[in-house]
Amino acid sequence: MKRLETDCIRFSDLNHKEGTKNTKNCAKRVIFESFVFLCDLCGENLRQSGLEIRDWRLSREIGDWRLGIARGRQANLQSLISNLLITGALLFLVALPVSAQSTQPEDQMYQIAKQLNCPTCAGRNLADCPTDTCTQWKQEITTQLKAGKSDAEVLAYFKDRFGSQVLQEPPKEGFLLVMWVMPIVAVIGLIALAVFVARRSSSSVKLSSVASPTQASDYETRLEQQVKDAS
Amino acid sequence: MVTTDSTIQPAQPASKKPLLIAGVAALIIALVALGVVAMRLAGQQGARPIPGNAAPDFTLATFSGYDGGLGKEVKLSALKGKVVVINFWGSWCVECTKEAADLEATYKKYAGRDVVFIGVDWLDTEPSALAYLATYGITYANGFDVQSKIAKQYRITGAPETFIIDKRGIVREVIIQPIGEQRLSEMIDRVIRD
Repeated sequence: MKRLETDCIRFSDLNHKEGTKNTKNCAKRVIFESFVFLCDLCGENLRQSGLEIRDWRLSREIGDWRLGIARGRQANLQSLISNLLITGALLFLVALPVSAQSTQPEDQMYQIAKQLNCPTCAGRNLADCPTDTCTQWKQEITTQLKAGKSDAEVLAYFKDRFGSQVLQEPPKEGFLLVMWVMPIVAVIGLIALAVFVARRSSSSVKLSSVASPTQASDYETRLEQQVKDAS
Repeated sequence: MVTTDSTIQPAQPASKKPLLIAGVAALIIALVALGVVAMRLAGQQGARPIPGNAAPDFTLATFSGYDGGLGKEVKLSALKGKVVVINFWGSWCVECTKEAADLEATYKKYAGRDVVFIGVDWLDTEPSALAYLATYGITYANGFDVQSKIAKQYRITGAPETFIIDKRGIVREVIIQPIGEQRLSEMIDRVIRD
């Protein structure tokens, strides 16, 4: 099994598809020829799209890729098991640098961008939006992070400049607090009404049984008897 | 002697009124809150200024070096007696680039004739906006629309959009596509004549 080491792979370098470039971080990783590489955005098998491993230009820039399990023509059960074991080990190794690099600027930018809305595409996340507007905004996030601003400061900048509607979650303050409290109040109201209706229907059954002619006459008879006894 | 025997008392139904009142009150509160939110959101936008309606007033802080002789803050209502051309743009907007040079040329053409141009930069980052202005040699007043307040007032749906306001502060033309110098000049001439 051929073993390669790379700092990272960038899809745009692979000329896979226009618009599939991603900006996530990756660290130094070990890859094997028998693994299948899937585009993180469209899910296509890169190897099947005609790319050969020798064509992959290694880049120090940021890339994004996923490891799949070997499905090569020559893969037999033994190699499959060994590949599974290697995959598990690799995923573990991959997970370590991913968690360790969480403070790297690109990853930090991505995390902040995930908390913002695209201003021109309704309901779309800034991090996943490829429009020119969002590209500019992401550049602005990177610039501010490089200038030493914290995540909260960057988010505050975007909120102040573009309004609270750019935030994925409306802030829990002022007028917007109503939007958070209102559903809770409505649910409480519905529960109270449901309990009321349930109790009312059960008590109406009880009342109807109390008011039945037999029981009413029995009650009256006992009452009259007690009055007679008392007098 | 009459004695009270609880065993012969008919069963009294438990009081359910507080529960009913609480439930109805909670739902009413939620509905009222929903109405308030809806009204507030609707009020933020207002009616779209169409030709014949009064132009919504606003104040725009201009970019440094791009006040067009109008000062650091431009207030629309202070420009009554002049024809005002308001152009919404963004440096990310490809269509805006098609009209940028024409807007500047038209601005220069009407210089000294009581025609004011105001560029409202929308959803932009300042470095990109300033680079755009420099690239297209824009000299008329331009500023950033903080929190899209002006865009909401004018209910724009994208960029570019251009509004021509007459001397009385009435919207006369709404253009929702890139506009060339000739067509813009014709519109301004018509507004000046009227």
